[in-house]
Amino acid sequence: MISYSKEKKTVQYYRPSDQLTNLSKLNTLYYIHKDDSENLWLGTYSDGLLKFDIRKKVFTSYSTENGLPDNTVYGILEDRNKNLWLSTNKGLSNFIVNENRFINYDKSDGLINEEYNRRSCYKDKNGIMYFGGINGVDYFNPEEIVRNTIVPNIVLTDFKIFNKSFSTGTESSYLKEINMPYDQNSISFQFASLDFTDPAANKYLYKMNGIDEEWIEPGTDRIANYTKLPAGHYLLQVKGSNSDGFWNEKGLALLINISPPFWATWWFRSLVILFFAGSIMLIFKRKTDRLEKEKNIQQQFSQNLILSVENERKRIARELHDGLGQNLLIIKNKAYSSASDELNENIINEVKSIESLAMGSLTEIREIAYNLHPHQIDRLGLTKAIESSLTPLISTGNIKVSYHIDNIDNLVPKEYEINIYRIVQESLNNIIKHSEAKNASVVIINSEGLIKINIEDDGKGFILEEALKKNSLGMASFNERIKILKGTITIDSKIGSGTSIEVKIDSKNFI
Amino acid sequence: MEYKNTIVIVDDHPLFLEGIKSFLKKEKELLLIGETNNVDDALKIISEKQPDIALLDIEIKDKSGFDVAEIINKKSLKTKIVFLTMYNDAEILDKALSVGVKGFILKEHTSSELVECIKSVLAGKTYISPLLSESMLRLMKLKQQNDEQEQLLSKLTVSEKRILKLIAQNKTTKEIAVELNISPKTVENHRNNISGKLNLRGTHSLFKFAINKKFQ
Repeated sequence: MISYSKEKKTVQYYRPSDQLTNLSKLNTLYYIHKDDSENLWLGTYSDGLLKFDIRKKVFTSYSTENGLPDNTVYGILEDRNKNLWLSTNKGLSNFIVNENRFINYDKSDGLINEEYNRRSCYKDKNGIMYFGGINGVDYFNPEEIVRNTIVPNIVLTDFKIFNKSFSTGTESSYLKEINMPYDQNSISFQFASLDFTDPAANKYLYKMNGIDEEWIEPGTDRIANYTKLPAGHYLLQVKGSNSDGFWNEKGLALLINISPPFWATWWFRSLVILFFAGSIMLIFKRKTDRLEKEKNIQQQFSQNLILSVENERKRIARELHDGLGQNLLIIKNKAYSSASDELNENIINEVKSIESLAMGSLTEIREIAYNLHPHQIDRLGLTKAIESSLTPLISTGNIKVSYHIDNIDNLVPKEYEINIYRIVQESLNNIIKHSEAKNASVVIINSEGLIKINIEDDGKGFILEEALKKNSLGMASFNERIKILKGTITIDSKIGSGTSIEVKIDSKNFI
Repeated sequence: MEYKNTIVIVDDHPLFLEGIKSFLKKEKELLLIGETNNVDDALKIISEKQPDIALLDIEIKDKSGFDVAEIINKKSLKTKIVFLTMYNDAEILDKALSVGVKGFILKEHTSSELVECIKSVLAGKTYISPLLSESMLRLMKLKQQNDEQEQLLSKLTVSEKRILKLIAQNKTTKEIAVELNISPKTVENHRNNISGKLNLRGTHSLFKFAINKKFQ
C-alpha cells in the first residue's frame, strides 16, 4: 500500500506483512474497496480479506480461519446495510461487518459459479450485484436474501443399541432419560436440527458429559457413537445451528443411566461379603467344633484311661493279695508247723528263716496291693476306705489332725468312688511329704447328696501354677478325676500360709 | 463219750483249706462237720448243722464272710464266727466286731493262734490277733484322741479354726481379714460356715462359743 499526500506531496509505504506476521511477504492484491468509515477492504490472492484503517494505518486480516470459504478474494461489493459481499474460489461470502461473521453461499444456494474472476464485480444503482465467474455471471439483490435467524430446536431422531434402533415406547424426540443394563452399552444417537431451510448447512456439536472433555462435531450423518460405556450416569448434550449459523446453545440434553451388572451392585457385593464372612465363620466354627470334639475325645480317652487303670490296679491288687499272698502265708504256716523240736537245730533255724522271709514277703505284698487298690473300698465302702487313708497322716505324729467324715457311700457310681478316694489320698500324701504343716484338717460333709470335701493344712504352701506346670502333686490327674465325678475343685495355696483344697461333687449328677 | 465242739470251715483257697483241716485233725476236742468254698453252701451247712464255730475267710470268691456273719446274726444262730483273714487293718476288724464276729486272726498266724483263738471263743471270750489288736489299739487311740479333743470342732477346717482363735481374741472381721491377709468377705464366709457347722445362731454366739471353749 502506498499513500500519497496531496498537501505534503509525500509518499508512505504500508506492507501488511510488516504488521501481521502470518501473512505472505509477496502478495497479489486483487481488489480494493473503500467504505464510509475510512476503511480500505483489500481482496488478496492468498491472504483472504484485509482491512486497512486509514486513520490508524492498521491492517486486520480475515481468512478461512474466520469463516471465509476461501483465502482468495477476487471482488468486494458493499450492500446497503454496509455488509460486504466477496467473490472467492469457493462461491460467494457475505461478511456481516458489525458481527464479524461470514455467511457463505455456493452452488447449493443457486449460484452457477464456484470460481470467480478477479475484479469481476459490479453493483448497479438498484443495488443489484453482479459477480463474474468462469461459468458466467451471478447476480442478485442482496436485500432479497433473507437471513435465517430462527434458533432451531434440536431433537433426537434415532437411538440405536448395537446398531439396531431401540424403541423405548416414547417417541425419541421426547426422551429425557434412558436406562440401560450394563450389557447394552454400545449406543448411538442421531439428532437433527429442526430447520429445513438448508438442512445440509445445519451444524451440530455434541458432548457426552462423563466421557468427552470437548464438544465434538459429528459427521454429516449427525450421529454420536459410544461403545462400551461403563456403568454409570451420563448426560448427552447436543447443540445445533441453522443454516445461517444461529445456534441453539441449550440444545438437547439426555440423561443416560447404564445400570451396573448384578455383580457390581451394592447388594450383590454385600451378599458376596456376607457369604465370605459367613463361610469364614463357618470354617472357623467347624474348626473350633473339631478342636472341641478332639478335646472331648482326648478327655474321654484320659478319663477312660484313669478308669481302666484303676480297674487294672484293682485286679492286680486282688491277685497279689489273694493269690500270691495266700501262697506265702501257706508257706509261712507250713514252715511254722514243721519246725518241731525233734529236728536238728540247723534245720529249725533254716525253717524259721523261711518262715520269717515268707512273712516279710507277705507284708510287702499287702503293702503293694494296698497301694494299688485299697481293699476297704470294696469290702467296707468309700467312707471307711477314706478313714483308713487317714492312718498314714495320723501316724506321723508330727501333724495334729482333725477330721470329720460323713458317710458318703453309694452317692456316686461304684466304679467312680475310687476317684474320690484318690483325690483325698493324694492331698494327704502332699501334706505328709511336702507341707511341713503342724495342723491339718479333713472335713467331708454330705449335705443332702452334695459331697463337700475340704482338706487344709497350715504348712508352707506352694505356687499352684508351678505345681500344675511340673505336674507335681498329682494335679493333672486331679482334674481328670474331678471331671469324671462331674465336680469342681478349688485349690488355694499361698507360700507360707498353707493349702486349702475344696472339692464339690453333686450326686444328683449321677441320677 | 468225750464232748466235741463242732466246726465248719469256709475258704475258697483249696491248699489253705487242706492245711486247716490237717491242722484241726490234731485237736481232739474239735470235730470238723463241714467244709465248703462258697457262701451259699456255707449258709446251708451252718443253718442245718448249727456248728459251735464257723471259721470264715472274708474273701470268698465274689462274696464275703460278712454276708455269712450277718445272716447268722439275723437268724440268731448259736454259731460263733471266727474270721480267718488276709486283711490286717483296723477298719476291717472294726466292721467284723460290729457284725458280731468273736474271733479275728490273720491267716499267717493260723498255726500259732488258731487253737488258742477257738478255745477263747468257745469259752465265751473274744479273740483278736495280738499283733493286730496292738496296731489297732494304737490307731484307735489316736483317732479317739482326735475325737475327744475336738469332737465339736472336727468339722472345722484349719483356716476356720484359725479364725475362731482370732474371734476368741475379740477381733473384728476387719482385723481378722488384715491379720490373715484375706478379704473381709472371705472372713465373713468363714464365720457363716463355722456357725453353720457348730449350729450357732446370732451375732455374738460365735464369740461366746470361742470364749467358752477357751479356744486359743
